[in-house]
Amino acid sequence: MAENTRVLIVEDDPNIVDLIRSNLTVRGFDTLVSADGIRALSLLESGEPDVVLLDLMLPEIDGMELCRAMRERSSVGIIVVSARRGERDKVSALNMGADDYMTKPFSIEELLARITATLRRTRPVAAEPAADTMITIGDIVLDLARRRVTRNGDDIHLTPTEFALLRELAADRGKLLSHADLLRRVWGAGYQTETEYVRVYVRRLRAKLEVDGAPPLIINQPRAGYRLVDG
Amino acid sequence: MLSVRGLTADYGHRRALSDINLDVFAGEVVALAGENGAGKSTLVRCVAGDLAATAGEILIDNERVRTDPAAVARRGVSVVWQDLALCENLDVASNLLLGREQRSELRSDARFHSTARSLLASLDIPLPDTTASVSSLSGGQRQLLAVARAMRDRPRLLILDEPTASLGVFESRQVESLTRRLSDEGTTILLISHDIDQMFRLADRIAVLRHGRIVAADVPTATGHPDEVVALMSGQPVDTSPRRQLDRLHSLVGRLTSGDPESSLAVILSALGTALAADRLSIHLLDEGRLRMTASVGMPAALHSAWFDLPCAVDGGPPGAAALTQSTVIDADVREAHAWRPFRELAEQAGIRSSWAVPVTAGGGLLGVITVFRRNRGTPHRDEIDLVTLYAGYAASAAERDRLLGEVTARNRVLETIRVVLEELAVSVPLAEGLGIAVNTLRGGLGADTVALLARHPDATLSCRGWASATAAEFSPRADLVAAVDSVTTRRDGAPVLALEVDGARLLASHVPAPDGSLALVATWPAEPGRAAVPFVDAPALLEDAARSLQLALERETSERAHREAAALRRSQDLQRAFLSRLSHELRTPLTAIHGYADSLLQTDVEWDDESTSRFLSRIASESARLSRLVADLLDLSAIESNILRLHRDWCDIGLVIDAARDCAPMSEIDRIKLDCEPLPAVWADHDRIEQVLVNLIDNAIRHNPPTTMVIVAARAVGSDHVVITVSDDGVGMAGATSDPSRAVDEPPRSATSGAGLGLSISRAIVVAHGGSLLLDASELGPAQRGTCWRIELPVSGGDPALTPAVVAAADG
Repeated sequence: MAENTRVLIVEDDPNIVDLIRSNLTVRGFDTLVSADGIRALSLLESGEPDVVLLDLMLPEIDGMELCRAMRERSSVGIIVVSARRGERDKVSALNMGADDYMTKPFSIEELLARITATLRRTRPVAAEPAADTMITIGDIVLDLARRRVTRNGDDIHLTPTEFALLRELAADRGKLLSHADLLRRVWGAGYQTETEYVRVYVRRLRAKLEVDGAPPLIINQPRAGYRLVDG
Repeated sequence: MLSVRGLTADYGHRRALSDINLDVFAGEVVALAGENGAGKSTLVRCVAGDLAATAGEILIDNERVRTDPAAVARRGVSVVWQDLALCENLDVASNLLLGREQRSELRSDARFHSTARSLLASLDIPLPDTTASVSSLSGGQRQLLAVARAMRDRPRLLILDEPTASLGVFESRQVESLTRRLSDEGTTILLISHDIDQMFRLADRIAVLRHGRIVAADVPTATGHPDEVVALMSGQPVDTSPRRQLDRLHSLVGRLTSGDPESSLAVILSALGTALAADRLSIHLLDEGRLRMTASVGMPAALHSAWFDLPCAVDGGPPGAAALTQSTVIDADVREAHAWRPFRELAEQAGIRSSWAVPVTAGGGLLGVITVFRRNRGTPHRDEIDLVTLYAGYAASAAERDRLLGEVTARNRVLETIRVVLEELAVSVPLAEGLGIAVNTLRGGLGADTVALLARHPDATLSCRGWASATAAEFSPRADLVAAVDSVTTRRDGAPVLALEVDGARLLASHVPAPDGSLALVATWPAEPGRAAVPFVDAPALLEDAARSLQLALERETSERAHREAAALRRSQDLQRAFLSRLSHELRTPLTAIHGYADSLLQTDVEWDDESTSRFLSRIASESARLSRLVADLLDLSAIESNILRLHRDWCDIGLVIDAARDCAPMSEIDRIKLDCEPLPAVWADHDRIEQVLVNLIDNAIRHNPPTTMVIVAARAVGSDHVVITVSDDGVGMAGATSDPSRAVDEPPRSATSGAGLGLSISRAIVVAHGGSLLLDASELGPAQRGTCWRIELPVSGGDPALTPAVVAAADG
């Protein structure tokens, strides 16, 4: 997985940069580094990274704003790195479009696991299921092979994580999927307790898919989980 | 277009909006008025889908919308928030098209900027350089850009939240004219503003919020009056508002001055002389019980001065007699006339043989007397008397008009004054200054000796909140005023103005209903025996009006102060949060590095080469040192904040302390540090702590400047009891914001690698504990004024009061 994978590290502390870069390089990843927001945005365009490690506490720019600006420009996987452990900070980062949230200090295993999980979600593997690749939900069509979602032929732009969540809900359409199921299936092992991830991403999906006044597509079963409407 | 139905919103247990109903129709501009905290912003947040309502619903085109900003935006509603969400680091075009970069036509840079330019051009917004960074724009340009971004997707309803709150007049006008243009082009606009005049300029109607309720949904700006809106916003009645009274008086003056051209008494008199072929006439007017000659024709000088002021009595000559009897007095022969007896000689000298004195009356009252002098004896013809009576009627109306005009002008002057008062108080000058100006203009307008705003304290003393006096003498509230102020501040009988005479002065006092309840506005005039206590008829009413405007100003001041205090509290909480978050970052970053490097070395799946291994180990060591410094700093800071910083003092040789501090610098940097020490007296100080201060200052000078920067540490004695140490560099200098070490704790430095913010606060606290000071000193910089110079001044006694000069001298010797 590490081969041909480029990681953009946005971090202003040279030792943390060295630490992350050493551990990624030794495992075969390519790395790009930026200590400031403007360069980070330009590297996002020119360097075409597969995943971004974004430190929230940067000089001269609000990391949350940078996260939003990156998400507005690209659907790259974004892992926010922060010294703050509060749920609020985690939810705001996810709301700004982050795919994952990691607090300092972190172990090397955690760093690698989060990068791997994010890449698995955001970078499609070549072999997609051949059969039943088109799923229709009302006027929305989900094209699994092409990873496209359309409503009446118009593209609905979903980030890879949003797409993965919708795909899992659609795969077991009408069936209640627990938070833990969804976390395991979309984010991977080790994410079972991160229920905010599901909440934030369901909200993002609803905002993009549901139409004002129309009945909801994704049903919330409080404290249990979510299901996609049947039929 | 937009319908708000029964909307109720709460913040926790506090109700922010109750049962709001509001309709905005397509193409309208509706302004939302209300004082701070009235619920304007909450309502906007609800409409924008940013805040969930407790009850009620919001409909756009009769369809309910969910609490979701994106859904609201899709329905064609766009909000320009008061705190603009612009990305500082991006250029104009990127901000304008933020989130649309994915669209294929925007992929190329040239098309991206031309799209941005044409969007700005279509809105007629003068921002030609779309590559300019947002941080280089003025407040007005930012606001225009924010509006442009909101207009990008051509919303049908544009919500502007205080669009000009932080702008100057010119910039406000730019934003206003853009708003007007958008409205002309059919955009429906909901405007939230503090500026009532702006609402009247822009909006079709105004909805007023007070305490979370709509108190008026529909004040039309075409026929409404700003006072109405103010009254609705504040809940204060303004029926007697000076502005209204001023309007009323202006129209009265208009009516009076637009009548016949003014005919003065002199003109009437000379016309009468022509009609009668009489060359000598006079007219006296009644003034305070005496007859004063107001005009005359052909009067001999001697008689003129004798008749200038006459009593209304028989010894007042014919005018006096006519005034007394209020009937015409005809003296056919001055030699025999009883009334002429006191003036017979003057009459003989002037060749006056006979006279007629005709009273001038109006509305049954005597105004004055016209006297006609003849050169021959005899009685006048009947028609001659009729002619004089007719002219006396003219004179009466002229005199009445003069009196009225004089009075109106006086009233007008006072009301003009009050208008000035209001204007002074309406702009947000500090209240103390505003009161001074207002009271002074009020004094001028009332023609009073003194005007003062007095506060009565519970211990029955008075203090002055503002005063103005015709003389330069300091106004001192006299004891006898206390009783007057007491009675006016405690009166509840509906007569808010009290007139009385106190110690030779006429005094009017009006209660000012203020938050603390005991303020009085007092005006004094010199006492004049025989004159009414009230200097002119409108004075009490005008004083009352002025008191009411002062009340509004005081209330505004109170609410603004509360607002400022809340804002300061919020700011300090924000700063504290920012500090904690930065501190957490500063602590966790070295911890992350240590943990991560150690963890890396323990990884089993990779082999590290020797270079990496030794780099990791040396970084673990340096990060551990950084962490322990930080922890030591925090412990120091907490000792300082809880006032338990201990100094271990001894007589110190400052030269040795400086040497030791330099030796703490990294070996590679030692050559950049130059020492310049004169012989110094010993100082009663904690050697290690002073060394810590110097190490910190030297370290900052080295780390925050280019490698070529030189650092000079100099020390000299000042007098026999002080030592000054300076640490200066010729580097890039410091931003003014960090020059005060006491602020460094509140506003930690942006650089995550520094930790210098703590160091500076600690240094300052250490120097202060020694009775000295640590300041930035620009005067110590070279002629180029480059770099930074810190100046430490230490008293030789170390600020220890136990040390007498003798002890110091002994130690010195």
